Amino acid sequence: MIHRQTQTAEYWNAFAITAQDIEFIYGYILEANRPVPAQELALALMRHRVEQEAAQIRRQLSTHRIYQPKQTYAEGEWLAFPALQFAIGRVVRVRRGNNPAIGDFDVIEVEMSNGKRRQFAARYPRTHRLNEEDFTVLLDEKPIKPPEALYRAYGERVTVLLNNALAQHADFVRIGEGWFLRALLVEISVGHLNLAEALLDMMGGGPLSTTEILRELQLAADAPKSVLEASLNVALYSDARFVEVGIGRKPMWFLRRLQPREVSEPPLVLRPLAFDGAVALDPALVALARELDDEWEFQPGEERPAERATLILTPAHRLAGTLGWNRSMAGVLPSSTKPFAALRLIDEATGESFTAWLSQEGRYLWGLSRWYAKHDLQPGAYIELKRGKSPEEWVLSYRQQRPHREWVRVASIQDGRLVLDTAQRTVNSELDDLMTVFLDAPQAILEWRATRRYTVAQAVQEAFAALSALSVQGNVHARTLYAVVNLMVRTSPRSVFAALSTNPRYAPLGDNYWRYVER
Amino acid sequence: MKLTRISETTRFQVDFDWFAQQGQDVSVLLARYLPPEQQAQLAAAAMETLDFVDERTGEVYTVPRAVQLVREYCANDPTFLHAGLPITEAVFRLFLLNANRPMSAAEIAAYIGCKTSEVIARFGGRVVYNGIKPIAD
Repeated sequence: MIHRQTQTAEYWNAFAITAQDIEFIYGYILEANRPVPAQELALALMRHRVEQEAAQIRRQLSTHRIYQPKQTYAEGEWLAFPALQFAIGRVVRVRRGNNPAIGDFDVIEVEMSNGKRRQFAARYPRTHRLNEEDFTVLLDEKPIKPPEALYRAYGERVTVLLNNALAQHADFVRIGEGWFLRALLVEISVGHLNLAEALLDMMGGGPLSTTEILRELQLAADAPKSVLEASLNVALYSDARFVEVGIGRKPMWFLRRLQPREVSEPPLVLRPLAFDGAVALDPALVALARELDDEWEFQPGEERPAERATLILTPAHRLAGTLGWNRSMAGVLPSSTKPFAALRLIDEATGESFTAWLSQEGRYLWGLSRWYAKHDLQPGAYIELKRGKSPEEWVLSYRQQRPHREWVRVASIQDGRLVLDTAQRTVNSELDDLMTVFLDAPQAILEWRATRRYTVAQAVQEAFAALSALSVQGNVHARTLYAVVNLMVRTSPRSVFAALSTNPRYAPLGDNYWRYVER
Repeated sequence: MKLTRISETTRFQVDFDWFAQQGQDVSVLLARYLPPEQQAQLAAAAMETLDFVDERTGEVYTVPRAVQLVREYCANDPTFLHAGLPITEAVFRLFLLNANRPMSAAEIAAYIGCKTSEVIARFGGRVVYNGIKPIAD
């Protein structure tokens, strides 16, 4: 059975944007009178193509004979050719076919609607697929696959092609993930942009949404709000003083000169170092590494969308005032193509909001130092991040406990060395026992870190020695070792475990416990 | 603005008129595939054409009778189409054997034993080899 061409993979795989498509998109945006996301345009275009085809088929089936090779045709007859996307043509000549192997048949010469002449078989005595078709099925109003289903299958390719085609047209202007018409833009003056800069300056640089900026600018233009926003967005995009930092589809603006340095330059304590040497890890250590969900062992794309993420605060992130953009966090936050994006975080305990910055390239969320200090959160604490009420905000919390005294691991700097001790401290949140390392003076550790350069193997050796001295048996859990090594050097669990496994002085005891062996 | 795109489903065929446009005599070209005794028949069949019918569209394509002679003579010769041939020659011979039936890039690649992208790159561009061109369905 011949289906409509738009129902086939071949049609969409060979799909190309035509001038008529561009005209359709122009009209669609004009009617919408707002920036339209590329995905929405792609779906609209695919729907348009399906409808166009249906209309063409209806038109042609009602006024033209459908060509079938077995039929006889006369000069002057108009035909529709089902295998040529229902192109139409008029028979201008009929002659006898010449091929003894086929037998007696006619050849009709047809002038197609584009003026070209093509020849087709008629009175064809042999079997042919076009003779078998039931073309009345093409008159069905409802195609077998609706445009939405076609979009799910082929929409990504159409979106890419559409983005490329629109980018080459001066009539269209890109705003974030959407497209708008240049002709509809309202003029934004330098004065308005200066006012926007002053406004962002007053807000500490931002971020502010286009709506928030627009409210203060009070543009006098007689145009819908969506057009004013689109115009302002284009003006802000073209001015180097402003940078768009929104993580979602809604543009958020920040002053470039006030952006924190840590956004574009990873903090020293987060610069990753890998163990120099390949080693096949014990399956138990591989499983532990996966459980630890370190951001440097996460392949973007493997995350699953989730409502909330639970992370264990590690010493490196406590020192940097960050959280790792790992598998769990990536499931909660939208993916962004920008080098960095600003997020509005809500402190669940107080309801206060603050800005944090996501660097997907650096794999961290920066801007949490004050929040950690305010709630006296220590490495080992469980941190939770969940989606907020609006798509632009996320809620940050920790597992609060009534303050009580507990014996915990404490790290400090003494005589230029990192020292581990067990001491009583006030605990106010639920902790992962094996990863807890209290930092009495984070600043002193940061200063010490700036002066020390460890390899992963050296850090593992020093951390192991310090940890084994804390227990009577001298046993060290790989999880604890990973936490403490990351006070000295930022490295992934696999690197820590590789350095541990390759050193013959460490022996596994089971359950990921290890001990030092004299050789 | 029509952005045409040659894909793996694009069909190709030999345009025999192309040889005349290039000032070449297709009979001379085809004669090299035949022994001397067959070449005499070729001269007689030079002006004659045969009609073939596209099994997909019903379109008729006209092929010189000489092609049919080559086809009949070489159809059972296993050395006529072999892996050592350059792609332009191999595809031309393939079309001779199948009476110039239009074939997609993927079909040609499967017969010749090369990548579809090679067929598209060689025959989908502006330079025409042995009259092999994409056809508009």
